[in-house]
Amino acid sequence: MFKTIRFKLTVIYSLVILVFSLSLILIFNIYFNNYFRNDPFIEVNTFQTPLGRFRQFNNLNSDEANLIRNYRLNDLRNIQTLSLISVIPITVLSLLIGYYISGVFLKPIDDLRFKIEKLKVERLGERLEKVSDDEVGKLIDSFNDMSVRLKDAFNSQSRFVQDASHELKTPLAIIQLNLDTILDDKNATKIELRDAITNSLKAIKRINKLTEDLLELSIANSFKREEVSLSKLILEQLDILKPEAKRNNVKLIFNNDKKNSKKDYDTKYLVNQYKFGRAIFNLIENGIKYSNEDNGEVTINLKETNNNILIEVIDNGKGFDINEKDMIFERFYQIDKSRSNKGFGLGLSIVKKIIEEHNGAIEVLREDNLTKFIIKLPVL
Amino acid sequence: MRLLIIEDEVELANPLKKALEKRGYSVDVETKGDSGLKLALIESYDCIILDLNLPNLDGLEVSKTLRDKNINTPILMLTARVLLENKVDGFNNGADDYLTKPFEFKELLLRIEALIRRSSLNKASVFNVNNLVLDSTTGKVTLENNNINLNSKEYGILYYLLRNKGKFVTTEELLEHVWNREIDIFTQTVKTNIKTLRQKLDPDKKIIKTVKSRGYIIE
Repeated sequence: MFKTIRFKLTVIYSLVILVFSLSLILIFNIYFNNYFRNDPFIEVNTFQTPLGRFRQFNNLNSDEANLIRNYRLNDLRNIQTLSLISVIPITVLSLLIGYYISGVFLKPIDDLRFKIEKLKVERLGERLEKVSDDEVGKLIDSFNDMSVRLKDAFNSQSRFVQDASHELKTPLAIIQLNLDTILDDKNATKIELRDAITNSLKAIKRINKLTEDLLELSIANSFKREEVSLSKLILEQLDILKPEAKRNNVKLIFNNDKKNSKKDYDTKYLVNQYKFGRAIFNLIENGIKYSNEDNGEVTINLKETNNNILIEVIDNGKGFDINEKDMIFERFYQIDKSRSNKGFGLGLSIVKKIIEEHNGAIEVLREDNLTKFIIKLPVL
Repeated sequence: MRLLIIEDEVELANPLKKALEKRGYSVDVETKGDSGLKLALIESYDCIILDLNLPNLDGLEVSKTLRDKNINTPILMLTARVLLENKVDGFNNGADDYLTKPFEFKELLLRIEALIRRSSLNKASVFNVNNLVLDSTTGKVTLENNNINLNSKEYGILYYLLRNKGKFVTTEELLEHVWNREIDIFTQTVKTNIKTLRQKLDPDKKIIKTVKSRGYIIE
């Protein structure tokens, strides 16, 4: 109660009124004091002249004057007592009025609080009605905006959890079916047993990869940045991916276009080394997966224009349907669904998220039978 | 009984096919929505096991198209979509049953069996003719309480004839429902399997009767 704004406002209002009325009383009393201190006079005559009315006063004799002085003193005391007593009703009244007025001004805030309390998670994003254009109205606007943002975040989170659980169910079904049927089949051959175990292990690997990806996607908050040589970062990823490229018969090519002009040139950039490396890794890995099956080739270009640093990852695979261009970065989207054993649809959505965290942008093009992923980073 | 599995995860579809074949079903597998639909339109199946997340054509579209074309084969949707609204979509688009992944193989078998039973002439799950008993829920066959070992084709023929008890079944129909699409239609395999089946449980041709040397009937 004592901590409420309403109480504080009431006290302040009352104090102001009290100080004001006390000052008035004080001035009033001083005035009367001065007035009554003068010798008493008595009016004896009045003349009417063309210039106006004149009144004549005479000094009283001492007895009369004493009598009148006593009366006046008495009156003065009465005024003083009365004005002192009047402070009490003024105080009470100002408290009451102050309480009422602050209540009137604070009511919209109280209403807002009541509405917010009633707002459940399921109704997030519903707009509160704006009653005025004043500060409270602005508060409601901000609240509504925040509510929508929260709802979006909430929805994307829950959609993501749904997607993830959906993706987990298929490998789980594979494991369960393989183990179920092999356990039931008393005459299962060694080969059948082996197949069941191999299938289950593959499914376990899928689950493992998926959980790793999920974890990676959620570590969005750790964000330590340092100056890193981009070409060095790309070369590191290429080193890790070389064996896989070899297995798939894919040639990896890296062009650093400034290398020729200035010998020791190296594009440095402020990045989170782990995350940015992961983004490049995912893009190259993706390129290896989807490049041409006979003479696969993945080219990585590091370029610098006036305003941007460009990293291009280009593969010569059959690409994707241009209509699905925007969907390609969505979680769990897969270029060719039937090639589901080749990985998960999480890779590119992670890349996009990381690039955007670095204030960059990523786009994908289909040109001359090549699929081009282009990362654009602003020059710092 | 002949089943079609439309499922893009081969590691799921192949062991499922194998396990179902061991239970006497003949099974075709398709991994894409459009090719699965094509096959379901051409061939006659006793039940279709349909995944929903399929390449080229979504499972819901497959089942909707089948229903639009008046194909009333029972459809069991087998999917990772677990929400109530997904199930509503499934049933509204022609599903007869809905099972979510991961699943127990036994439950799947029971559901397939129930779907076939519901859509067939003879709705029993245990058949008894002249002391020959076939229990379709366990896949066991006994003659005068002795277990009889049948191979999957023999079981398939016997089961199909019992399901259609009292109805004349042609050789082509048997080929269509007991064998999968890899079978050569001019084969003598039905005749051979009927022969071995009779040797095992019906040497006097009292149960399975031949009609005009073109088909068979169990009365």
